[in-house]
Amino acid sequence: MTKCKTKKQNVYCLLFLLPSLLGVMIFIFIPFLDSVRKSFFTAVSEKFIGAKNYEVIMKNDAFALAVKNTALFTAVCIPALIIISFFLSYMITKIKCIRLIKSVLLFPLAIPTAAMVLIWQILFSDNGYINNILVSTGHGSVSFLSSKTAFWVLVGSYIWKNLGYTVILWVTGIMKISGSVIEAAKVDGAGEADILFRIIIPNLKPTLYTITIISFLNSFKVFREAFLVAGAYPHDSIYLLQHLFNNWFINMDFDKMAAAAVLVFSVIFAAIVLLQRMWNKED
Amino acid sequence: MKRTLKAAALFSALMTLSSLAGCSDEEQQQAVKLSKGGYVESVMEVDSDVFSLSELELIDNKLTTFDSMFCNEYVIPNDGSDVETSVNQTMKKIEPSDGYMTLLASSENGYFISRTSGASFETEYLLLSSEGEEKKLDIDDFIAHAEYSESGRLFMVGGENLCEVAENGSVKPLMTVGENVINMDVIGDNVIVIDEKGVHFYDIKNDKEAEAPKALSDFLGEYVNKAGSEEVRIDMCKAPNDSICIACSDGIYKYILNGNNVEQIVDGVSCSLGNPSLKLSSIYCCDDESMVVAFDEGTISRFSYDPEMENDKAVVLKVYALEKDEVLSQLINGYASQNRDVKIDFQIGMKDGTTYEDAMKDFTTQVLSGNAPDLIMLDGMDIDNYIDKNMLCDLSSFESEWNKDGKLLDNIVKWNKKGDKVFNVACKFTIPAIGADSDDLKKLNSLEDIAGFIKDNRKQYDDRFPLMYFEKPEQLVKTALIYESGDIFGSGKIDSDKLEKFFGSCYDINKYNEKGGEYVSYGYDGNEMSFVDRLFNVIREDHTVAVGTVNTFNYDLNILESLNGLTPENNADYKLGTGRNGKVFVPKCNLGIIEAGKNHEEAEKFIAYALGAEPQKLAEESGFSVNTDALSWFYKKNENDINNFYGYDLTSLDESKTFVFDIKWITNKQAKEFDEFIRALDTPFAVDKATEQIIVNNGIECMNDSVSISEAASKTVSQLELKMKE
Repeated sequence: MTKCKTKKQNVYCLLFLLPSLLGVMIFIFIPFLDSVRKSFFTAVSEKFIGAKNYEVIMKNDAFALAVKNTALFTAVCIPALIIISFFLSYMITKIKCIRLIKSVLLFPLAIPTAAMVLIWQILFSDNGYINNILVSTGHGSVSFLSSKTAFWVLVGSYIWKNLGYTVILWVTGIMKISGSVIEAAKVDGAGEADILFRIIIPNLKPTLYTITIISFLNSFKVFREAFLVAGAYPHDSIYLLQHLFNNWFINMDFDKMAAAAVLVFSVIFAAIVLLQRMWNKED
Repeated sequence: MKRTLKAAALFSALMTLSSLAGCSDEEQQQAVKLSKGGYVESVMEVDSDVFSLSELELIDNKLTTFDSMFCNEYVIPNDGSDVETSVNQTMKKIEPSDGYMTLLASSENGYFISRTSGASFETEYLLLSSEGEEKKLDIDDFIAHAEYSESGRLFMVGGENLCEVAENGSVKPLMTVGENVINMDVIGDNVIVIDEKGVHFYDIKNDKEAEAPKALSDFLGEYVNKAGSEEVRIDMCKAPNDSICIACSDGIYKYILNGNNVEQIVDGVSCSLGNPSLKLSSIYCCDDESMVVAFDEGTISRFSYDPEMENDKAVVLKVYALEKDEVLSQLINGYASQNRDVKIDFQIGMKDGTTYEDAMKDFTTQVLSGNAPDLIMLDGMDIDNYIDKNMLCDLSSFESEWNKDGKLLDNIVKWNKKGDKVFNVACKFTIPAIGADSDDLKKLNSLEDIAGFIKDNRKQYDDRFPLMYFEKPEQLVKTALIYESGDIFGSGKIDSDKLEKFFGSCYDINKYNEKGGEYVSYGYDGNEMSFVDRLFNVIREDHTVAVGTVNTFNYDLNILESLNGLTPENNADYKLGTGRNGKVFVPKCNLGIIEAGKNHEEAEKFIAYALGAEPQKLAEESGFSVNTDALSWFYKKNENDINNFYGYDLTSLDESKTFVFDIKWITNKQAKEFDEFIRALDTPFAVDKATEQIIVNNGIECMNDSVSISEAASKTVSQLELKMKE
């Protein structure tokens, strides 16, 4: 009887899941499988060429540069964002008017990319505000967007845009920690540092996992800013994987694109699985 | 509760499946089935010297139009016979001896005319009765649009007002309209004004502003917005059954008054309306429902309804071009009119503000999704990339079709030959040229020489005139690239030193071209000037230099070859070809067939048509023909004196001298020399849009002093290298 009931419930669940499952199948799984297939064929004439596309992209200098930059960007941005946002949120939890601050922190997310890009250009272009200040104070102008500094402008842009949202996630996590536990620790003679490192941080592990994944995914969205500020061929330091994919698509290098997509997916998938395992192990 | 859950789950699942099942192509197949019947166009040429044709009007029961600046009257017969041309004596009598007059509106009862004095440049407006009685009007505003109603009332637009001109000459404002009026027509009891704000209706029966029908207003608004900054030509006329016919470059549309939709009855792609070299003047709908359309250039088309015309076009030819191209548009018009069973689906990638990248993404999507165009114009595209990807068909396999008698200029048509294979053919070509005083010209062998020449002359003769005419820095870089691309890309790699010199030259030309802080406008309004326009300035003012491309016999080569007849003599001279070897040419309208296209047969026919002798005579202003039969036809035009223009005059910029010369069609000797010259051209200039954009953007930044010359060069090299690495 119970078995029959469970079976029926499973059928209902499956029916409810069907629309979204179909969506994921049609718009994600099947296209991905098609990309895997296409990575073994030529782009337009569709001739089977084995693993040649993989060979080509492994030797492709633009791919190497884009992978290096994307990895560097992720490696710099995510830790920086996590650390800065955590300490900011820790301080915010000590302030009373937290609601108002929460709203203010979400402002950067509400600003459209195009408007943000305009602000970056006004600030950082060769004839922008910052250069005007530098020149008027007797310093030489800096080509922020056409030199290696472009990378740090992009890092700044990413952190500025995502800081508020990440702080809110941290604050929510911190607020969830029971006040009685902290009070008890204080009674037992724990100092501020003890409370932070022995109670708050260990309790924020699930939040950290969420923030890491969200920040990682958001790091790919920074392409919009980079593209709008510097176009399809920006300075070498901010040439990201999405620039390459975008240009490959325009030039009909769909075969290379498919091979690169499969490779990148494999690396990201492996990284996420590894991260999850590490997490589960620690738990 | 369980039942509700069950029902909800089933419903959501069925909804998803039903939407998927709806993706059949039944609807699409249904759309192909069209009925019989349609409009057939017959073209009449009025006169080759027409300035612009006036509104078509029924005068004495004859459909009449006038050359609005000269007093010629053209009567269009109903029977398809030739247009009758005569001089309107009533108007001729009031023609000013020094100055000009323009016919603004005509009717059976008289004419509304503007007359400008050649001495004072003052314009007066007058009513001229058919008997020749003239009445001057007290109008201060500039009048561009006027029309008589059927009852003889005269309406006009002036000073942001729609006004009525009474018989006694008084002007009464009726309603306010916008600043930029595109068109004004009197249709039955309504005056319809189209301006930048939208469509305005004025009810002349009840003398009050009326509400414009929404469908018509939306249609016209959308058309005007779509045109953007391009000149918009629309004309409307009354049609039987309370309807309105609307002519525009998209075709002819019909709107039944107060109806809910505007229906297309003639497609612009397959008729003269879509021809970009013709400017629509007027449409008139006859009682038999045939329509007559007049164009400024002196072409008149009649669209007659043929109930037997097959609309069920079995063949669809998909044509793609990155940008609008006059040659291709004319070829499509011509091909469509000869092949009524072929529906040509012509797509332009970069239109309505679409960027190059978005256009290319759209094109890639089409190709990869199995909807590839059949025929492609490859100008601005990376042709070699497409060849490497086996995207283009080898056209040499059917060369016997498009080069039947070997009458084509192989060095130009097959400029991109890969071994024995030909993947694209050029349908036209232009030749870069340089002009200056003959002594100076000998010293000008590179862009660097030109820049040095301008820099020195600005220092030596610091007058207020520009030393080289170009409208925008962007145009300077594009033109300069034609001169130096061989050096910059010659070795197959980007030569950064030469690129730096290139930017340095552009910078100097831009900086020293005009006297600091002084802008001299010559009324070109930023439109691109031809090489000849620029060379005229070499004649008008010493120490100047002209660059550009020579595109045609009529407007370019004949003038250049006639310069030795200048009175008083002038040292202006020119040389064709440019580049280190002097044999550079620009291949235009490069056509290819896409391997993944569905209709290779029709695409092959189109290419054969495009390179044929007759179509090669079309789009004369956009480039020289590549067919030697067509070229011979052009050469032989020197046999007819009508092709010569006598007494052309040019006044020097300081107005101290006037040069006079006759523009004669090139002689047989000159034609022979030109023929030998073009057969020896061997250096094509073809840069894809992406590369051009990178160079132009960095060039502009350096000319704006945003970056230094070396920074611009190194940025360009790094961007182009990155592009190559991909």
